[in-house]
Amino acid sequence: MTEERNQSDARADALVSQAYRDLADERTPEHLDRTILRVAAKEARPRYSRFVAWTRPMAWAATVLLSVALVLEVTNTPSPGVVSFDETINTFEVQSPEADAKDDGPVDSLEESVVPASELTKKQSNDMRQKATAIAEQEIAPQQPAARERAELLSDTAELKIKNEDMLQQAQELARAQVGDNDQPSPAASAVTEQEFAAGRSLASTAAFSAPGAECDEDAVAAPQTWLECIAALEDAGRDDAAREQRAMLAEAFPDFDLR
Amino acid sequence: MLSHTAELAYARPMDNVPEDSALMLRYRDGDVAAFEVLYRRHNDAVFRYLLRLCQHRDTAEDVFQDAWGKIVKARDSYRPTAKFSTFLYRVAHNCFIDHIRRNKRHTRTAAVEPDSQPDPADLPEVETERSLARRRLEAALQELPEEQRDVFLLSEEAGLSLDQIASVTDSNRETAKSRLRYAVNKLRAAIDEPVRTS
Repeated sequence: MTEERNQSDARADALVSQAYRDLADERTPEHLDRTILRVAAKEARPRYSRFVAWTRPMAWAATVLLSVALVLEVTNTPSPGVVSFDETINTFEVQSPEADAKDDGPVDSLEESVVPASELTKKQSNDMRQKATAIAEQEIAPQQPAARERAELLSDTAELKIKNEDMLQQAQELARAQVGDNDQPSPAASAVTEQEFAAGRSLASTAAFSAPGAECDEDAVAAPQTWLECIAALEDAGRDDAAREQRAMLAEAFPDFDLR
Repeated sequence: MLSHTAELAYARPMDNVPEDSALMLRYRDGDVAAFEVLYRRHNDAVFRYLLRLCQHRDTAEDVFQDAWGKIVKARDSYRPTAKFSTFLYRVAHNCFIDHIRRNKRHTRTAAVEPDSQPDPADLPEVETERSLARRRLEAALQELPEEQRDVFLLSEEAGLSLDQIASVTDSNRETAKSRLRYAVNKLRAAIDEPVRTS
């Protein structure tokens, strides 16, 4: 019974459907088709051109690259106030606090503080060396007293060399006086002059390269007589202060010795 | 006479052509030709669905254009989770509902369609029983309640199953089945009545 009813319904549905098929034969108007397809084509176009589409990723890439470069540059920048000499490549670098103030600027400003010496004039180079020396003294002196003392010793040595040259000139003049009006000194006089000069040079060298307070060597100070001779040599060389100091030391070391 | 399933096959893609979802995805990727194929496959059925539903040609054209416009704009968010025709008729159904809400004075006045006008050759004296049944079916469709007409049209024009019809109309399967049965019975009665009277 139910199956017959279903078959009847299906046949009836088919009739209704067929009747509707015959009825429903309308088609979409052409103007609607054109409008909708035009809208669909317009919407399917990319919103941005190829150039504009690449702008954003390019901007991101540029930003990342610049950031990395900046970080690397800041990491590799030396600390302020460092002085470095590189004589083998004849390059002179000074990283002064004033130059450090330019570090906030472009990267090129860092390279401006490193200038090959060959490109500088001699005067500019000397000025820079003086400035570097002054900075080095400021930096090193408070921290290394021994180095400062050594610098002072070297300075004294230079003065002794100058005095030695004066002694040479005096000896030559003395030799000329001994040989009279002869333009050419005699061999004996020359030999004496050279011996005196050599003795003076030796003495000056001994005095110059000895430590302060030790103008007379150990052999000289071993006996009061030799020490006194050394003091006399100092006085002859015009080093009265050193002679006076040696004399005091002699009196202290040998109180019984008659200094006169 | 063709079976019911065979008659509905006109609305379905053939085996050797891309499926609707594939065409929509190609259009999403910028293939306008794919959309044209998709549109040509469904445009007439959707238009007839809206024409019968709105019962006014101008209104049907407006809703039709609105529905396809939404399909075009929804291409970026389209996901082939359901049959494309279900998605398409759901959009069309919602556009019709929106149109009714916007125009409170939606009337049931039937627009006289040129195709439904009696042909000069079909004068009363030569009018066949078939053409009479056709006109009575048209009248019966217009007299159907809106929900029943909607379900019948979704079944006939879109070829949707009861589950799909329920999804489109936001109802359950039994409700859709009931509405479809009432609609078919009324239409069958409208078709059979003149035959019996004659």
